[in-house]
This record gives sequence, structure tokens and C-alpha cells, in this order.
Amino acid sequence: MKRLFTILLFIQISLFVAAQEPETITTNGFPTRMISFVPQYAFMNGLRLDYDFQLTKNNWIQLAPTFYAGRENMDINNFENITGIGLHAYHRYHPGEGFGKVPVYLSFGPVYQYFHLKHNEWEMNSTKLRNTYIHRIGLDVIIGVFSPAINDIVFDVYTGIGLRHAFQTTDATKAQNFNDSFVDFGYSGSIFILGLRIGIPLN
Amino acid sequence: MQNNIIIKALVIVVFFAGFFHQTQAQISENKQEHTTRIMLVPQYLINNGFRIEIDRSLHEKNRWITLAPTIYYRDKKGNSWFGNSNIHGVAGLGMDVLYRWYPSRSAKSGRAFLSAGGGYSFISRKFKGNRWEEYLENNLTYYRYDTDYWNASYHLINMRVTGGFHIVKRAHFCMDYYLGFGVKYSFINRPEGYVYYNNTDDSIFDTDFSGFLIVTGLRLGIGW
Repeated sequence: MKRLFTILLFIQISLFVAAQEPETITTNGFPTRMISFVPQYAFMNGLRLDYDFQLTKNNWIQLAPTFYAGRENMDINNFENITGIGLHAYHRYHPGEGFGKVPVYLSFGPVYQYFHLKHNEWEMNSTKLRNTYIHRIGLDVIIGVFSPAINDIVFDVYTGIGLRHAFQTTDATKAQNFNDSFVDFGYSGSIFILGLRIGIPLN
Repeated sequence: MQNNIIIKALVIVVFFAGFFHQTQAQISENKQEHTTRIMLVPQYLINNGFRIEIDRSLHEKNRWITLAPTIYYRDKKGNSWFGNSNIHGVAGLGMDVLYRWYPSRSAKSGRAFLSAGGGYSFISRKFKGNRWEEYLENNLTYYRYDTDYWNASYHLINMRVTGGFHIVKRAHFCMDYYLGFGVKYSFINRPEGYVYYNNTDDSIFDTDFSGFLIVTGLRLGIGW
């Protein structure tokens, strides 16, 4: 099965490269590189900065490193402190006339996240600080709408569906799963995606 | 078992991603008449489903085929909105194939469609329950009433006929509403000995359901 997966992945990359050959980047005054931030990640102690660059008229790559740090700032989880990193790597497809002329897009790609959560555990009449480490992988499929790309600031509203699977290790006697809802750090399952990006064109 | 299902899910996703790239080379210049659509079906998330529908037009522009791969996954106790709240995880795969017919041949006025088709899904659900467990101690056989996790596997076959229309149809974006009826049959394998609390209020949304059912929902996506 893994071999089949590798072969299919290779075929997909080959088709992707082949699909790019006849096309060239035609900017038509529209940006070809962009930096964006995703404000809603701040609710989860996160800072996400996206770097988007154009491959061809219709195809973009979107790299979204995410950094997590700080004390619990929402009542979603029960932890003392979090540090973490993540990376979303999306292939974004703008149909028809491409980015700038067609506001809608389809993007898809893998997600990796790592979290180190410090949390309290009640043991022997005292509270002890414990560590939980979460590695989470996933896949997102998103559709979105860009505001007119000719502006200095670009807004991108997106929605979609995703899958997540978390691998967790802890030194706590009784593991805390951090999976109360689909926005939690340790949630495994299918998720709903909704968000806003605010972008600044670089050229 | 879940790792194996995840690998199978990845294979399906990579396969359809390749299919998607291949169709890029065949982009229609006509803004109104799409030849390919990738649609998301968000209401499947209620049943922990990740469903994408890939529509491809056939030789005639008013006849389409839809492939709908679905991945079901949740690794924690389910909610009790629809079905059994004793479920502690679900993993599965499904594939539906639908034929879609637009009565009007005109792309501009062809907003209404009829579709028919069916599919197969395999779903494994983790339950927590009681059973009489047999064990050996000092060469004597004992029985104890034990609480443990157990898995039930479901083979689901469904067929459906729906009518629908594009609520929104722009050059490259569309949103559909559809309504119809279907029939579903569940083959269920449960291990021996476990006590299964069968909800008497099974709904059409539950995996256990067998019979005729209403099919309705929204799809949204992009086309080219």
C-alpha cells in the first residue's frame, strides 16, 4: 500500500510538472508574490504568516509557517503554556483567466503541526506541571474568494474541509488529550475550515 | 487498523489530485460552460465525513458524471446529535458515482439538474461497552463482566435520485442545492459477547440506518 502511495505521488508530481510546461507567468499588472497574515490564529496562541508565489497563470504555491507561543488565552483548552510550530503547504489553482481576473480558487495540501503543551496534573495532594507533545498531520481542501487583487491590501475569505491525525506523548500519569473540539490542538478527525487572510502584494 | 485506513485514504487523495492536475491541461476557454468542477459537501462533516465531489462533463455538455470519494474519521467520542453517543471513534472510506443530467442544453439557463447513482462505504466504529469475558486462572475458567472497547464494521450500499439547481452560478464558482430520495442498506459485523445498546431513535443520519431516506444538501465549489 505504501509503495502504491509512493507511485501515485510520483505520477501526480509528473502530471503537475507536465501541466506547467505550456504555460508562462503573465502578470498583467497583478502581483506574483504576496505575504499574508491570518488573524484568527491569534485566538489559539498562533501567528500564521503566508508566503504566496505564482508558478503559472493559474497555479500558485502557498507556504504558511505558523508559530505558537504563550499562556492559555482562550477558554478552549486547559494548559499553562504552549510552544509550537506548523507548516501548511498548499497548491492553489485559479481557474480560467487566473489570479487577478478570477477571484475564486481551489487549494489543497498537507499540514504538519507540532505542539508542546505544559499543563497541570493533580497528584498526591499537589499540582505538578506536566508536558504533552503533539505531532499532528493533515490535509486540507479549500475554496476561497479574493478581493480585487489590484488593491494594496488583498482580502481572502476561505472555507473548506480537512482531516487531522494527532500523535501524542506525555509524561502525565493520566493523559490529557486536548481534543474537546475540532479546533483543539490534539483533535483527530475531519474538520471544518473557515477563515480570513489579509495579504500585502510584494510586487 | 486506523493507520491502514489513513494510508488507503492518502492513496485515494493522491489519485484524485493527479486526476485534478491532468484536467488542468484541458481548461475550457468558455467561462460559462465548465467541463470540470470540484465541489465540497460540508454537511458530511456532521457524520465526520470529508467528501469531495468531482464533476466531469461527458461529450454532451448537459450530461455529467460525478465521482464522490469520502473519508470518515474521528478519533474521539462522538456527539449525540445524530445517532449513538456511545461511539468513541470512526474511520472509513466511501465512493459514490452519480450521473447528472441538465435538461436544458444551454449553459446559461441550465441551472436545474437531475442526478442518479449510488455507492459503497466501509466504516469502522469504536464502541465502549460491557461483555462477559472468559478467562483462565489456576486451570479454572472464570467469567467476569468487563467494560472494554470493541469495533463494529459496516458495509453500506446506497442508491439515490435527486433533483437540484445552482443557487449561485458564476463564471468559476457555483453552489448547488439538491433534494431527493435514496435507499441505503447496512451490513453490520459486531463481535460476539458484547452488549450493544441499540438506540430506538435511529435516524436517517445514523450509520446503522437501513431503508428509504430523504437526501438533501448543499455543495459549493469551483469549475472551469
